[in-house]
Amino acid sequence: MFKYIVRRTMATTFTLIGITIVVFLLIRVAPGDIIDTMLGIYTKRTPELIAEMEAFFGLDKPLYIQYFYWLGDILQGDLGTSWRTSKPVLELLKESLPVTLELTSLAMFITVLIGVPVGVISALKRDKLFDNVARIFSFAALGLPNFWQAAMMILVTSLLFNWFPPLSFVTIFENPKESLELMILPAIALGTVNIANVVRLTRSAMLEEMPKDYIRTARSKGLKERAVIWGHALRNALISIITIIGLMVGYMLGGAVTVEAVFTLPGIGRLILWSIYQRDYPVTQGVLLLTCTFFVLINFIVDILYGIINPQIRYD
Amino acid sequence: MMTAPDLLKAQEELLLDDMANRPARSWIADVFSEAIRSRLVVVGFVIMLIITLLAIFASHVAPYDPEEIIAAQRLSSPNKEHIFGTDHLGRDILSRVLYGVQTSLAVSLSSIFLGMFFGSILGLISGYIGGRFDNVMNRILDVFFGIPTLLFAIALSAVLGTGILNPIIAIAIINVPFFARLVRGPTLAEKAKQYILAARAIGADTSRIVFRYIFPNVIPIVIVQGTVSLSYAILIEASLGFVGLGVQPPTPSLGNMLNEGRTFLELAPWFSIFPGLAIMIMIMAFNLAGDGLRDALDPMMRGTR
Repeated sequence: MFKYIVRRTMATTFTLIGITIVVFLLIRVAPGDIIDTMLGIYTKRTPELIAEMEAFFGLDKPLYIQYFYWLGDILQGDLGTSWRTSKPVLELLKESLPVTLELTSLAMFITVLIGVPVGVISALKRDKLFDNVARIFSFAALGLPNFWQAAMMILVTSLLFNWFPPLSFVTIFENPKESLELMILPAIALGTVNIANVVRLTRSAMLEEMPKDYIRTARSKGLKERAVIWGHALRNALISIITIIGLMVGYMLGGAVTVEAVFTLPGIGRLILWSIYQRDYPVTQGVLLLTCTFFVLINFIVDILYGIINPQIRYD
Repeated sequence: MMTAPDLLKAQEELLLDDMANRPARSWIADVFSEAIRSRLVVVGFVIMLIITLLAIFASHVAPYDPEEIIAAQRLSSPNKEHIFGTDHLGRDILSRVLYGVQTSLAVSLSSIFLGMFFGSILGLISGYIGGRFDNVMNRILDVFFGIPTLLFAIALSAVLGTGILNPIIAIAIINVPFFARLVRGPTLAEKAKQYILAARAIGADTSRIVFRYIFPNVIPIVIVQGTVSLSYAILIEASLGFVGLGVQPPTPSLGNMLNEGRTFLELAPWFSIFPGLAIMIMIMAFNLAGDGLRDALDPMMRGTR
């Protein structure tokens, strides 16, 4: 077990380093750099001026030296300064992160809350009405772009129920009711595709488990059917779900961008879009690093968890 | 009562019989007939075909010029003249949706082909060379898998710019790791088989081995993943358009239209309903077709190999 953890840690560290290199190169290659931003379009660009600015920003050094300086800064917590607002990138991230965290957590919560029971019942009532309806919905949900779904939901709630979400953002700790009112629609929009995946996966996992011998044994022991299903079969089906948690988080990190754009939530998704429109690359870089690191860490945790649950994986 | 080994033997004989007595057909025909077994898959294929035809002949089918501005008819609801209504500049939405579908398909197909091509080659090379090179390549692929797809697309758009060509490059780049990893697996598996060893023993050179022996085993998987990736590419192209990083107005793009329609959501819901519906139908059709192909190719690979 220990060796497995060590191997996964090393692999994850390599991946993280690789990601820093990719993000660094990506931003360097992007059109427009800090010198252009500072000088604007009216300043006359003389070679001396450019050379002086390059020396000041360390841009005259070879690329790999720049990378190490940059990496050193990052590891000490200095993610750079926004070119447009002159605020530290870290501060901008801290302001936006709670919104996205609340959005994705709520979406995950809804996904598991709805997806797992529907999947289980779907498996139990295989090929009956519930199952067929659930499968049709799942299939439709896979093709539903989340920003379109969001727009349709806003349309329905405002036209049919005359209900509008509150305008400004409050965290769930400040004002739970308003916060939930604000977040419920975006969370549903973000979570729908994953609900479909979870339903399908739970359904097929349950269908695989139910015929197995240990279920028969549990039943013959006299256990109530409810305990057999939820206690035993589901437990093993949940293992399959852990494998796709990484995928779901990855999807949500990307989907949060479009959903936040539709509902104008001041989260990380909107931050990265804004930074690209404004060509404020330190912010783009910061958001990319943060999200990718988070994603990689989640995958790492899932790998370890899966290694605990399924001993076969450890000898890979 | 037959015992398990007897049952297996009987099944095997039936299968061999069937294979021997079947008229000779190309494997493509086989795959197709297998895929069409399910009625739902047929629906998927038919819709896919209709969409493709509509996209190719958009200029003939569209009733109006998608960029023609008729200010007097701004935001008119669906009526006899404009079946899907008009947008905020008086342009016919049906025509714009048709051209938008054309753009979506063009971008998705090109990017998937590019990604498929380079990704598969990378996977084949990496799998065949094996050893250290393969290990390093695997680690590099891990890095790219650690970046959430849509974020990667957005970041690449920041670097490459907007337009119609750049999303194609961006989506192609995103798909290269998928296909590389996909192809690497079977390549490694085939490489270990006896007939490859035999081919090498009689002096077949590397390119012949890779392209004539290993590659045909990889094609079915690549095609199936291709259809899945295609529907995902349509979604990404629409998402990029929605946030303004893809095809730029006035060129019609489904994502763009949804973005423009946001402001008029209550005034003119048709502006947002139809483009989104088009995206959804496209994705569902390609998913159905992809599912059918996958189910058809799987037993094929196991059964008649």
